Amino acid sequence: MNISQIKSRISCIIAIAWYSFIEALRNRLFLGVFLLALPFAAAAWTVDTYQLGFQTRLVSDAGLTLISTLGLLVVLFFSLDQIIPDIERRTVYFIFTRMPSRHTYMIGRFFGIMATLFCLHIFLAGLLVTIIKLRTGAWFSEIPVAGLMIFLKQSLLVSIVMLLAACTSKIVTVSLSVLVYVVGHGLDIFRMLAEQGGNTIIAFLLDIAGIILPDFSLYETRIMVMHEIPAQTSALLILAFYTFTAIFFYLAIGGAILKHRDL
Amino acid sequence: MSSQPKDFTPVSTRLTVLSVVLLLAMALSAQHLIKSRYWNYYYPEVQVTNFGDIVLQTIPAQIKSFLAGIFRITADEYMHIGPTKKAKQNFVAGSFAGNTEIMSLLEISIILEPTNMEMYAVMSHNLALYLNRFKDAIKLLHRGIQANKESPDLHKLYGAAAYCYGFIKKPSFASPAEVKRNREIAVNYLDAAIEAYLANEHRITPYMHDDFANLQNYYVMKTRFLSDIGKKKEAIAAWQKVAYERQQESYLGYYITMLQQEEAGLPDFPDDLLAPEYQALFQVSTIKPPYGSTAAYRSWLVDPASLFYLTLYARGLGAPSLLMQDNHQHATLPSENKPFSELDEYGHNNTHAHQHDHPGHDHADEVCPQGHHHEHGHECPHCASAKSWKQAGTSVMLQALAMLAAAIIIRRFV
Repeated sequence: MNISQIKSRISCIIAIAWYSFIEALRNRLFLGVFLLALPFAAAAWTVDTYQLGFQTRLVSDAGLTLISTLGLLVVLFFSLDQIIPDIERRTVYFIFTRMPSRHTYMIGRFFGIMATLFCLHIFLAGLLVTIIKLRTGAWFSEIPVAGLMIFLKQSLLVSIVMLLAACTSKIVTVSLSVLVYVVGHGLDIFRMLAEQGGNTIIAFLLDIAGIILPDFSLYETRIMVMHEIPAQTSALLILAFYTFTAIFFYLAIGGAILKHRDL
Repeated sequence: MSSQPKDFTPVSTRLTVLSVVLLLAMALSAQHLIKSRYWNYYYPEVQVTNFGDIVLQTIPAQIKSFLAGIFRITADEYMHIGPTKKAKQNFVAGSFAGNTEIMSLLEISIILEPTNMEMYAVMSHNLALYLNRFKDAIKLLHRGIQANKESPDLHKLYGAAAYCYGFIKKPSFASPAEVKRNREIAVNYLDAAIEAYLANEHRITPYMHDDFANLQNYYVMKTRFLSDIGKKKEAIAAWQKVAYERQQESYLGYYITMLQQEEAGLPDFPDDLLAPEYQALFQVSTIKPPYGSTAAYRSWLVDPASLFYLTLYARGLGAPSLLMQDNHQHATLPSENKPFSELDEYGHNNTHAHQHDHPGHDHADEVCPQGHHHEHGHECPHCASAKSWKQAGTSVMLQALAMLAAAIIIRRFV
């Protein structure tokens, strides 16, 4: 592959990502998600029954939970709107005629959702940090770091949704995505329970599953934020490396499936 | 050959959907209307004061109970974590006392599950005795009493109100008139608590026994408050109902004996007998928190040395000097400026002969790779956390590399 081909691919990816991003921004659901954040932000001022003042830990904990939940909604609903409707409406043929490969299309769509998620997390984490700064006068640097980790986690989930969207229907994609999300959080626990119960076969199968499935428990931010202990840079770098390799892995499989799919 | 029915058009479909939505809306409205009109029939035990209360009743009780449980667990977690370091908060880790972070969570918890008695007690004690919101505390208890009129645990709420009234003013810090006025009211609540307890005694199972809110304690408190407000005969009568074992070796028992013998040196309040003990207690506290270290839940992202501070917080110890008493191997202070500068990456101080002397930890059987002595079959939470960092970091890298290799192969050959 020469430089002009690489440039061509990158410009295609950027074009698709840009239009995916614009599509998402114009979506009323996304506006709804943004607007939903405002009453919750106001709740930071109003939920104080006994006038005890601003409760930093409660607000930061609830705020991060909200960011994670809204991000998850964006992942599930917007990722689904990327590939499946294109195939159903046959608009994907038009795109493929101008694309060097189906992989490029998938990567472009993925970056579009990533950009949408990034905007959402910047907005919500910024809002949370600002509220806490205004009320306590202190900067909580753990919150942007936690926001970044949630963003990485949800980007990984986007790649899984896109892999599933490339080969199954909407309902199956949503169901399997939720399953992978739940299993990804608890695989360690399942493995431990299987080992404790003496089920070596199940433990072995779960070990294999652990190689293929993502480990979402690595993105646990609670201890860092709740105890105000800064995350180690080395750990964050490992996490970022892990996330991008896993995304590359799932998108490669998704792209391969889409390439061989008879549309 | 199939033909579509004539009436199966988009318009008729839309009308059907709209009709179903309308019927659902009507059913819900009727349900709310009937329930709000006859609320006393539907919710004989629930205090219904506004539309929000009615709406809450339409949510299944299991869901509300589940959510309330989550809020309670979160409040418990906040209690153990303690105050935010960057904000000025006037409470300590490991105690509900004065903790403001938990109050909103517990409030939502009792809105969702008004039958949970323990939360009323925790909240009312906190509001009345530590947060200077005495009226709110009593209002909250009244709410609880209204919502649990038929509960066998009703006495606990009266008992909690008696405790708030009884101890909001203490003889050492308030005027005798104030103390007496409040303790008169406390006696009324104690009477109500005793009455509620006796009325429901046949419904109280051993599982419902409370170490504080029980009949014997009510009699003890009643005796004390009656003697405080000058009703000495009633105090003696109440003391007769206290079990013999409780009467022995008790300052209150000693006071009542003095009262019965009409001794000349009888102080005004039983508290006055305890003055020397109070002074001794305030000088050196030997009270230790009743819980152990936190579970070593996954924490590979943070610096293991920070887990030492985390443990300090989680154990409710406010100062390194207290930690030194409790956790010798960590707290050998090398210098004044850097009290924990020689901690290694596992949060341990390795400059001294390394032996874990945690209370309840005898790490004598095993030596871990870092040289820590461990009891057979048990792990120090610090070492477990440190290992989780090493293990997690290595396995994460291996998995990432495997995925990268697989992705390249897929891209290249598939």
